[in-house]
Amino acid sequence: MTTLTWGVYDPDDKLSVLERDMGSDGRRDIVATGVLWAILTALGEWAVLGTNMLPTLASRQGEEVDGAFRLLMIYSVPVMALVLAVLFYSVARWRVETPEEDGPPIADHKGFSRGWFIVSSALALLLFIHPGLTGLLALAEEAEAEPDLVVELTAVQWHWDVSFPEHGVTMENPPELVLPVGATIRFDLTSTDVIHAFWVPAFRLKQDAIPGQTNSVTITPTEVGSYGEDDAFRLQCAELCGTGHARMFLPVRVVEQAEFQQWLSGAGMGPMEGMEGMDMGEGDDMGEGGDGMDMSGDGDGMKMGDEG
Amino acid sequence: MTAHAHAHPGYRELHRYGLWLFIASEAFLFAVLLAVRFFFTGLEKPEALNIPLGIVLTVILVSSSFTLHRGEKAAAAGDQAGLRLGLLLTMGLGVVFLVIVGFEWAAGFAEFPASTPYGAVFYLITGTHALHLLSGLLVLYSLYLQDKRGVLDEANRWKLEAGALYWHFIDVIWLSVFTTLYVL
Amino acid sequence: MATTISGTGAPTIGSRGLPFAFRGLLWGAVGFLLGALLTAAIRVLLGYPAFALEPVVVVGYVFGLSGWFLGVGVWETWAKGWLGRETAVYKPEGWRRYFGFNMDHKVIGIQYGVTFIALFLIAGLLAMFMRAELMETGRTIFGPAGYNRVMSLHGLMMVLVAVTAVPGAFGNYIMPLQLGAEDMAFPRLNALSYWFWPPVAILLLASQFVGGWDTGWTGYVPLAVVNRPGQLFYALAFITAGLSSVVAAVNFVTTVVKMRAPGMTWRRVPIFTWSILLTGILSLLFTQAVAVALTMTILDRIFGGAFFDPVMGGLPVLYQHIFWFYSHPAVYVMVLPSLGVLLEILPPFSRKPLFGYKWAVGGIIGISALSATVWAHHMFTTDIGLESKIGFMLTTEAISVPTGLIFLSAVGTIWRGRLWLKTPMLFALAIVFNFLIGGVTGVFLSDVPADVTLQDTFWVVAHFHYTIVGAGIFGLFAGIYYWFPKMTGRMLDERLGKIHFWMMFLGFNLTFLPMFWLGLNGMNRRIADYQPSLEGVNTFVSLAGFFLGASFLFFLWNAIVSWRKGEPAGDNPWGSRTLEWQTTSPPPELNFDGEPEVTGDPYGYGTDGPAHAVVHTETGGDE
Ligand code: HEA
Ligand code: HEA
Ligand code: CUA
Ligand SMILES: [Cu+2]
Repeated sequence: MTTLTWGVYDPDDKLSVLERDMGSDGRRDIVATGVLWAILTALGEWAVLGTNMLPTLASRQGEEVDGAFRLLMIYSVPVMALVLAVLFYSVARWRVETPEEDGPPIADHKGFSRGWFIVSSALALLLFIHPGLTGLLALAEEAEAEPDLVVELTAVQWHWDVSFPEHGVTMENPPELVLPVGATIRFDLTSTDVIHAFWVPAFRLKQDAIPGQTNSVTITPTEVGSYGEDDAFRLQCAELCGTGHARMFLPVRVVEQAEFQQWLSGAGMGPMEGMEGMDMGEGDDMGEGGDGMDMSGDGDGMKMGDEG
Repeated sequence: MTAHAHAHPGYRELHRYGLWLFIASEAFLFAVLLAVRFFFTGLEKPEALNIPLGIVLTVILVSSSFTLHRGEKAAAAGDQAGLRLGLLLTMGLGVVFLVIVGFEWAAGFAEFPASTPYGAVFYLITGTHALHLLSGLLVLYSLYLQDKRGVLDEANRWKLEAGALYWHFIDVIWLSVFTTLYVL
Repeated sequence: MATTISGTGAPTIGSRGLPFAFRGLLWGAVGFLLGALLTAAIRVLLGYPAFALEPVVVVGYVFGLSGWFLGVGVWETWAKGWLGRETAVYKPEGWRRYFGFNMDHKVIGIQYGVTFIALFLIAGLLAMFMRAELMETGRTIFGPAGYNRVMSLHGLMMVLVAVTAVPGAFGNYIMPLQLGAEDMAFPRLNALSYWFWPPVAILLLASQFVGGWDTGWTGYVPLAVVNRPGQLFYALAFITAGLSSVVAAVNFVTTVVKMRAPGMTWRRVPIFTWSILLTGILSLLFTQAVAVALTMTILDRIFGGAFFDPVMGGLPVLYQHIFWFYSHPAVYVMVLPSLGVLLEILPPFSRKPLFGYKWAVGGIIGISALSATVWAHHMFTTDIGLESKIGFMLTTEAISVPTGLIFLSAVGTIWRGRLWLKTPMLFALAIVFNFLIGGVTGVFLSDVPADVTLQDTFWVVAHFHYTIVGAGIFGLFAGIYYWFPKMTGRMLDERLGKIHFWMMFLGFNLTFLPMFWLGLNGMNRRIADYQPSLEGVNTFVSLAGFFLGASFLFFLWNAIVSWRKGEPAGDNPWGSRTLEWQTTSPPPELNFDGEPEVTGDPYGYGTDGPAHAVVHTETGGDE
């Protein structure tokens, strides 16, 4: 271990090479960091605005979600860029092999610290109001809307039972869920065993299906589409519910009104057959219950796989 | 190496502080438990709840705090026999308390079994309290043994203070349990 | 009985024969059998069949735990005193002192450190298996049931590592030194808190023989009530760990408040010690909640379910409230000590005072205070109602402000410093980078409109690995590289350290950054299998994960070799000013060869003001 002499910072020391470079008040460094911040921010915003990271959007309510997400991205770029600009600049500018003297004893800077505190508080408040509160209220209002169609979804380990009470149609573990485009649909969710959750990535909204109670979520599909073309169209269980959780999903097909009516009249007959678009590799995996371990209850795995 | 006198507070002060922290933690435990009761059943409670018995239990515990306090005072006056009597009486009351709780449980199982929300909460809370009381009894018994062996001298008087403080704490907790389960 | 071990004249024990840990196992087994027989007897008396797994395990475990503690050394060192008999001190030399009820905070710090690195590596290895499963769609190695088990074990073990490793290792070893104390306030409680951990490890192992459990680390009901018996072991292990936290927290808080050397005013307390103080307060209060939630689960399993089974009037969502009432504060227990390490390291390696000490302390206190008010942000998709959503969104977003103050202090400290990029400093700077990403992505989750799609997806997985690993675990390693010389008297190899750092930093970011995209694009959490469209990115993530895992081999190699024959470190290799560096490496039994007195600022770099502390030796003729 080399012995180091920990020199004390001396602002008048003419030999303090770094200090001399730096200018006495470090104004040049501040400007340079500011420029770096601006560049990083510009690059970041360009990347955020120029790329679409989100999957297909197919519901009106989802626009609230995507709007909030995009806005949060836009807000976070300058915040992150500020910290990173200081970090990168400092490391590039002030790294030393072995410190021969201490840096300037700056213990605080009232203006900067207070400014930081105030700006970050204001920012947090802004985020809370918009997109937070505005989005939340908009979604709450959407949820109040009079539905054109009610769909009851009952989650069962590990499939979904669907019924359209207004049409007297009930389907146990159907192969797909068909929905009319443009209609405001209220999903009434419940569960017969453990907690599951409703999530169609293309619709964005998520809501838990909890035994003993009914939660609702209102969605207005805006695009036709189907799981076969785009896996964002699936009703995916999004709360861990046991062995079959991963594959507890139901393909969704959004169709024109007329087609929906036609499907519904055909569907009234009972459980549907066929499982197109469901091939996910070895479909019978689920039934094996893992590596020979003893599973409690009806450990016979997912019912979906049985039909594949 | 010599044991040099580091400048830290005395044994008693340190331990008293630690015990109060522990009590704060325990108080949080019971706060959560009592909150659970309101979550489950709001302000409702079963008809069959034996409120007079609850009052008897309360009286017993309060008097046990009193007997313990007498014991402590005796110890402070150097009266070891008085201390032991105080400890014995307190333990006796504690045991009576537990026995009555046992009977209450036996009766309660029929009226509001553990498979009803109120029952579940009732047995959870009174059970947790009873376990604390049991551990308090063990502490008192340990103090009794130490006193009999003559090691609970002036230097070790803190142990008595701690045991008593813990007992009084369990007593206070009972008052809040009683209020929550029987009164409200 | 005095607070110091020395000078009591008590006999010492345990210097010969098998270390007490082995006796603890034996007595623990005996205790378990006794408890099991007792349960069977009571069951027969009450007219039930003698054997039922879960009641037997619960009661047997309580007895077994008592036996374990007595056997490991509590009997001689402590319990005999309860019976009014003479106690002894466990004080063997050499390796033996790590395998029994030792009360020296420095021994305990190393016990914690080594144990938790081991747990971390095992749980990390489990993650490697998970990534192997997720490498491709379909079944790769274990299929869904096995995957959920491994995932759950990984999650719980890692959470325990994250809440315990830094306070356990450095809170015990370094914090008393930083205060100028000769030990912790309660050495026996300190030893007690450590010896809870082997039973936890045994429970986690044993759970795998009864089918493990598959609810993840959160153990949501009703699933946890209807699950295999492994779930019971999960609950017992978690409760035991919680007991350890409470015991340790009493000790930490008392030590910081009461054991400061003369002159150590609150404004001179090093920032790491501040973080340990607040962590202690959080564990002290909130751990009780998780014990309640898990006890209710156990009761439901044994007595049939009135708490959480809606058919019997139970409330499944109540579990989540109680669980998160603890577990959100717990995430700050995971990160605050590491942020303390970060701010402790920046000043000596920037040769500048800690910028905005007041603000940083305020930030730590503010985070702790607010952390009690945000729990339901984990429940935005349950049924908590509009007003609650608004309230919890507000408090959660407010917590960014005190957290931001830590960043203020960090960037202010490096600004215009003399940045000395040794391995500890690299890890510290990486925390700033990682935690920035982790924190900002948390803000997305706190925003209800965004959370309703992000909840329970890999966005969340990425968020919490960026916070827990990116700050918590990076902080653990920053602390190891910084304090290893103090704890062992030897330097870690700088070259191997840098290799470890760069592999870990790159591997970490390459593994977890793409997970944000996965989450957005429909990959939900806790799944053994996913949509084919996500396969490419998952394969990439898995490969990066293996690279990340490999980085720890360099660390292991470095640590083992350097501990035995690294370069001697000297007292203060980094030229730090805090008190732990003003004594020998490793420190003597009572920490300082004299009386420490605190005379100035802990971070007075660059000033020639008073030193932070002086140690008055007895021969020095002071006073
Ligand atoms: C160390 C652990 C840790 C830490 C520190 C955090 C920090 C934060 N977390 Fe995280 N979180 C977890 C661990 C952690 N989290 C875990 C384990 C889970 C999942 C649990 C499970 O389900 O298994 C989780 C899940 C989780 C959820 C629930 C997600 C869901 O399931 O739907 C939410 C929602 O609000 C959330 C939010 C936050 C926020 C707002 C912070 C904030 O504290 C972050 C604050 C920091 C910053 C914002 C960056 C720096 C600030 C500035 C530079 C100042 C200026 C910035 C602004 C004003 C925005 N977290
Ligand atoms: C401290 C906390 C911590 C840490 C460090 C990690 C580390 C890692 N985690 Fe973990 N993770 C969690 C906490 C943590 N995780 C939690 C809380 C969950 C949630 C669980 C739940 O949902 O309930 C989770 C879940 C989780 C998932 C999501 C599972 C799912 O939802 O389906 C994934 C997926 O990729 C993952 C991956 C990884 C990887 C690749 C690492 C890597 O960083 C690991 C690096 C590798 C090593 C450390 C091993 C090195 C091994 C050797 C060098 C061999 C030598 C070994 C021996 C001698 C034994 N983790
Ligand atoms: Cu149903 Cu997950
Ligand atoms: Cu949280």
